[in-house]
Amino acid sequence: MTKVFLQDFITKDKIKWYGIAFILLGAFLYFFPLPHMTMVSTAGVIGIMVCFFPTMYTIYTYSVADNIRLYLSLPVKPRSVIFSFALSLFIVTLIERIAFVAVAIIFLYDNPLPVILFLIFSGAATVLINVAILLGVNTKQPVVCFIGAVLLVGLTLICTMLNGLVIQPTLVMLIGLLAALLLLRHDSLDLAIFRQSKKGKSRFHNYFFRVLLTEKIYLTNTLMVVLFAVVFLFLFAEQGNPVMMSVAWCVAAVNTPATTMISGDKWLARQSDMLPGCYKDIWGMYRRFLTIYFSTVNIIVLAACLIRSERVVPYMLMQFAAATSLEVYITVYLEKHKRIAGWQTKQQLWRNPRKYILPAIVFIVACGISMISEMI
Amino acid sequence: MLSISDLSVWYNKGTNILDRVSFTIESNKATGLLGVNGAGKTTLINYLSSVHKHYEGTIQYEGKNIRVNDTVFKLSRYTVFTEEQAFGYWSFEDYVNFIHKTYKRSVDWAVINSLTQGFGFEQYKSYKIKDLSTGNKKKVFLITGFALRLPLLILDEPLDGLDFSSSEYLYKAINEYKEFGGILMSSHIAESFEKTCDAILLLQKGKITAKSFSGGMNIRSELAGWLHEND
Repeated sequence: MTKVFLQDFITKDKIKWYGIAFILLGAFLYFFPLPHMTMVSTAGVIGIMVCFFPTMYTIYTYSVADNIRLYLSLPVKPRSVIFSFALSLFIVTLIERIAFVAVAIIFLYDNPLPVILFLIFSGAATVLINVAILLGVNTKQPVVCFIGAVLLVGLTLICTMLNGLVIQPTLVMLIGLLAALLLLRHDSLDLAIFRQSKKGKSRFHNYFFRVLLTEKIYLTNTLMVVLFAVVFLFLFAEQGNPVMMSVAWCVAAVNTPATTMISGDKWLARQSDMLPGCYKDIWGMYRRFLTIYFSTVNIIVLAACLIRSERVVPYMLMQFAAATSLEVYITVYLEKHKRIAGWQTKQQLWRNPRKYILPAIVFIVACGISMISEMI
Repeated sequence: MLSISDLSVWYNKGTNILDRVSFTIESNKATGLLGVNGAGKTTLINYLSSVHKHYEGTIQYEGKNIRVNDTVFKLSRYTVFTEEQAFGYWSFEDYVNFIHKTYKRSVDWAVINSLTQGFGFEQYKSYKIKDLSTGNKKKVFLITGFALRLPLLILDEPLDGLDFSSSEYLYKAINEYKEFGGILMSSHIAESFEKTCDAILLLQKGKITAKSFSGGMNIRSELAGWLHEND
């Protein structure tokens, strides 16, 4: 079963590209050495950070897909399915994230082996905790979710508060074992998210707003983007530094779920091709959604910019107008003409390099506006 | 109504799924699209629905040369795909309203109510589409297609997922629809052709042959002969 899940998460082609990236990263760190580190616990915290949110995203989006329901009908022991799922997630995390950190550790630590092992242990424990939390959410068992959260906090505390080559890995392994025990309580059916039929009308008629407000992952992503842009402005944009302000506009443009709503729904993509075009068609509705969405996000960024610079600067208003209109226009263009296809999980879709086009353009335009205003 | 000439359709250049086929679809008639699995029925339907990009050939609609993705043609046809899960977060009512606006038509609720009653769908009208069963999902798009009353309704295996009584009602709806427009329907159920179709397009080895078909004919006995004609 592990192989079956792995085929959904990763392709041989991707592994090849990751291999090339490892070599490039290694070569970079060899020729441009960074100061050496000694703290083993740093690796543990990095392990948790690089594993927690991406794995959570993958698990959630995969649990609502149809594939998993097909696999659950196979004659395989329920526990075997759950542990194969967790193992495949861990292998993917190992290849896609932990391996990169491990390459850096080789060049940053004098004795890298125990640090890498600690990184792997903490990553494995994080994946197990994540799966346990998901099963708790799917089966609506708040106690399981709470225990999962406690284990995660415990893991973070072990990695940050303690030190020692024996005690830390032992406790991390113990946490992982406890998370594995939580998994034993579940049936493999709990891996899939089944929703009950509901009646009732939403206040929003626009289909894309309904998706945004119904899918927690979309809403969470939006809040994270806004939060990150604002925090970034307050931490790094000293007294209206134009480059840092431009970075904030660029951050606000990165909401991959919102900008891939057509690519992310193959049925909707087919209807968008099939239906006749008019102001009230899918594209018109998507354009209206994006205009309201980006205007709202950018107004928050603009407000933060104005507070940070402590004066009203006309070029910021221009940046707001330019960013909003570009975000709407480019997103619709990309979704119409450069749609992302061939993805198997939403995580793969959201990591497609196309996501960098819009923020890069917004950054360049925002920088250009601030440069021109400086010259004037 | 619709005349296609020298149409070739492919996924990989050089390997044509349909190879220079020509056929016509008459208005106010139901045309059955028949072929074994993998013959290219869905590919042909995808082409007519503007969702297949690799093709060449000419298409005439109402005597005028057009492209398959011209708005004038798009506004004249609606397709019910064999598997459809679009607009899952909307209810049937939301979808029907949206589609009618897109096709610039006003919603005739009397027609909608009659169709929902016929398909046994009344109680599911306000459920989210994604939460409906396979058969009920199909009914959302079938009812919408029939209610639009466009000149051409394309049905790709419309019986898939439908229960017995809904299938019977579907035959009735197809026959009544002929008053408003033509239908192109692919199916694997012989009975569906016998009960509704006025003409058959046989898709075989990348070619299309038009077969005369009249009510009362037994398609199962004809089919064996048709499929082995070119052997």
